[in-house]
Amino acid sequence: MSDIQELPDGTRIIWAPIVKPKRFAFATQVFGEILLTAGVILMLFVGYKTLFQDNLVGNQQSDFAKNFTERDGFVPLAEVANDADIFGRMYVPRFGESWTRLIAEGTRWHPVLNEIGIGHYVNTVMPGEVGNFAIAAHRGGFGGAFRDIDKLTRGDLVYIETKETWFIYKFLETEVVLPTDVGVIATVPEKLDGATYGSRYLTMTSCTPIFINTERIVSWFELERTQSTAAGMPRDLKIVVGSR
Amino acid sequence: MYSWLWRKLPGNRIQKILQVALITAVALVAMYFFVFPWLDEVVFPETNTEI
Repeated sequence: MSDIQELPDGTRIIWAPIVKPKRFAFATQVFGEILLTAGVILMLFVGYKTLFQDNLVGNQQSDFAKNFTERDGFVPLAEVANDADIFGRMYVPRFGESWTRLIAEGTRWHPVLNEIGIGHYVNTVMPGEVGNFAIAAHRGGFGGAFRDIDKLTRGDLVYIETKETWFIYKFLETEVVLPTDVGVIATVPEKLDGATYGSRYLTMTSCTPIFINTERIVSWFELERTQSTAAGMPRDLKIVVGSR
Repeated sequence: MYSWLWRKLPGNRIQKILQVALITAVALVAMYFFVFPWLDEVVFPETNTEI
């Protein structure tokens, strides 16, 4: 297919399309389509991590916690010794009336943080003891148990159910620190205003910002009261979560 | 590549569209339930410290 143009002096110009080698054109087209496909798959993977997997695992952890019955049995606090021993269940009304997660020994991703939900730093005390009961959970991904940790406000209560005792802690304050600031889970937590020896603290830790994880967010609580599990769920919590 | 696949699909235009939709759905399910969980383990191996 060509186009002939004749100039006034009789010169004829023949215009013709530039024909590239067909094989090269096909190869570049295929290469471009492969790149586009890879880009789409990458975006789908991001969607999988941030939405699909997060919701799926979050629901699984929540169901696991709600259906964890006395028959399964919490390991008594004095007998907790092994990694992933499940010894408690946590309720944080600020995170939602249906929010609940199990607490297990250790902070390994698998199976504690990824499957169970909340992990206990092994070098810290157990709930109710003098010192600092420190726990960790994901903020984003794998259910993001502590996603709303930054929304805690002064006076918020958290409830920890164990085999024999309910521990009710009252929120004190939140700080964002560097990953190297390990003193935040010390017996007397560093950076906590007015921290003293002899107090019974709870420290919740998680990564921040969500999905970036360059810093750590830390929330401190102090034990407000305890009650026997024989007395049932604390009344104030029961009002929030119902008779579950 | 995709135009070649399109030409290879049997049937008329409607049938081809249905086949593409089915293939896409199967690919998505395979990726979300098999490929991505595996890829997640490979790309983000378990660690003991970062939460």
